Amino acid sequence: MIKSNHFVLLAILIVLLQAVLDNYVAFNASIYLMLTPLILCLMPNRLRGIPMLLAAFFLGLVSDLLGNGILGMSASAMMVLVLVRYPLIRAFTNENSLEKYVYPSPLSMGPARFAGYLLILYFVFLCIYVKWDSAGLVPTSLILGRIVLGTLLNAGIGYFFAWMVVREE
Amino acid sequence: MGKNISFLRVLIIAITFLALEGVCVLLISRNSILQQTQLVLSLRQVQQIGWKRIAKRQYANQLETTNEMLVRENQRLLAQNQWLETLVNEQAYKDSSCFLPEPHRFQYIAAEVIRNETDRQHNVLFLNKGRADGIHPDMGVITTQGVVGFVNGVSEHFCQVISLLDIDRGITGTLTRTSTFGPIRWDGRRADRVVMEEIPIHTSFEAGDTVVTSGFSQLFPKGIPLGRVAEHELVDGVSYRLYIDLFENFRSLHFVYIVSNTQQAEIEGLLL
Repeated sequence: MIKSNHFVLLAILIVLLQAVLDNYVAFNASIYLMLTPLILCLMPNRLRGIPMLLAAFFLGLVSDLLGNGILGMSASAMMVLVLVRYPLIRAFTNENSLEKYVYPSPLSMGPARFAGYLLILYFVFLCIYVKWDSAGLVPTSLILGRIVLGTLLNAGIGYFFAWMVVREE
Repeated sequence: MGKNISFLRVLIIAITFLALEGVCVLLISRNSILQQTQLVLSLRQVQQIGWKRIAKRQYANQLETTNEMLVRENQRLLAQNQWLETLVNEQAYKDSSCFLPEPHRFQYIAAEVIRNETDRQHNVLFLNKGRADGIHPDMGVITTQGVVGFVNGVSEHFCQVISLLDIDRGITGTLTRTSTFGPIRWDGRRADRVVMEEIPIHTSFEAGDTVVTSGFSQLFPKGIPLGRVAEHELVDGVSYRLYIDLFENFRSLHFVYIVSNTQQAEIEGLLL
C-alpha cells in the first residue's frame, strides 16, 4: 500500500538515484536509462492539466541539473509525456478501477495494459529526448534504435518497479 | 456553458504547455551549440516553406503587371518587326539612286478582349479600346498567332470586332511554300479550323504547310501566320479546298492588337 506522502519520498529517491546513475555509472552512449519519467507515469490517476505540466517541467529541470545534462531537455520531453498520459489512463483503465485505485499500476489496469501504458509513455518521452540528444550527429536509423532499445529497457524497469512498490488493495 | 468552460480549460493548458516548451527550447539552445544549430536549421526549414509560399503569391500577384508589360513590349516589337521587314523588302531597290524607304505603315494598339463568342455562325468580340484611343471601323485585329477579325462598330471606349469565325466574312491568305494565295473563310463548324478555297490544281502543297496573311487587304500586314494545312479536297476537279488548323485558340483570347494602317485612306483613294 502506498500513501500520498510516501509517493513524494519515492519521487525524491528516484530523482537522486537518477542523479547517481548519470554522474557515477558509465553506460554505453546508446543506452538511455531514465527513471525520472517513471515518477510522472506513476502519479495519481486524477492528476492532469496544468499541475501535471508544472510538475513535469520542474522535475525535468531538476533531473537535468543534478545529472549535469543539457538544461531543458528532460523537461521538454516530460511535458509531452504528460500530454499523452491522461488520455492513455482513460483508455486503459475502466471506470470502476479509476474510482477504486489511486495510482496507475498492473493491478488497476491489468498487467498487459499497464505494460502497454509504460511502453507508449516511454516511447513518447524518448522520441523527444533522444532526438534532442542526438541533434545533428547521429543518423536516423541509430536514433530509432536508441529509442526502441531505451523504451524496452525503461518500460521493463518501470513495470518491475511499479509491481514492487505500488500495491493497492 | 459547459462546453465553453471545457474549451477554455483546454486553451489554458495548451498555452501553458507551449510557454513551458518555449522556455525549454530556449534553455536547450543557450546551453548547447549542437542543439542550437539543429534548432536553427529546423527553423530555417520552416521559414523556407513560408518564403516559398510568399514568393509564389508575390509571383501570382505580379502576373497581371508582367502580362501588361509583355503586351507593351510585344506591341513595340511588332512595330519594329514591321519596319525591319519593310527595309528588307526594299533592299532590292537599294541600287536605285532614288531609293527612299517606305514609311512606317502599320501601327499597333494593344487591347483587351472583354467579351468573346465562338459558338455562333456570326461571332463577335468586344475590346476595351474605342474612338478615344484612335479606333475606327475597318481596322484589323490580330495577335502574334494570327488574325482575329476586323473592327465593325466603335463607341467612345469600346469597339465591336467581327471575328474571323464569321461565315460571311473572310480574308486572303498565302501558302508560304508556293506563295499561292486564296480566300479564307470559316465554314461554321470548328472554332479551330478555317477553309482556304480556290487553290489551283497544279499547286504543290503538303499537310503542315504554313498559311500567312497575303497583305493584299489594307487591314492586316503581310506575313502574319494563320495556321497549318491539315486536310484538302478536290473541288469540281479544278481547284483544291484546304482545311487550315488555326494557330490562334479563339476560346482563350485575352490580349489582341488593333492594326492601324497609316496609309489606308491614301490607298483606298486610289482604288476608288
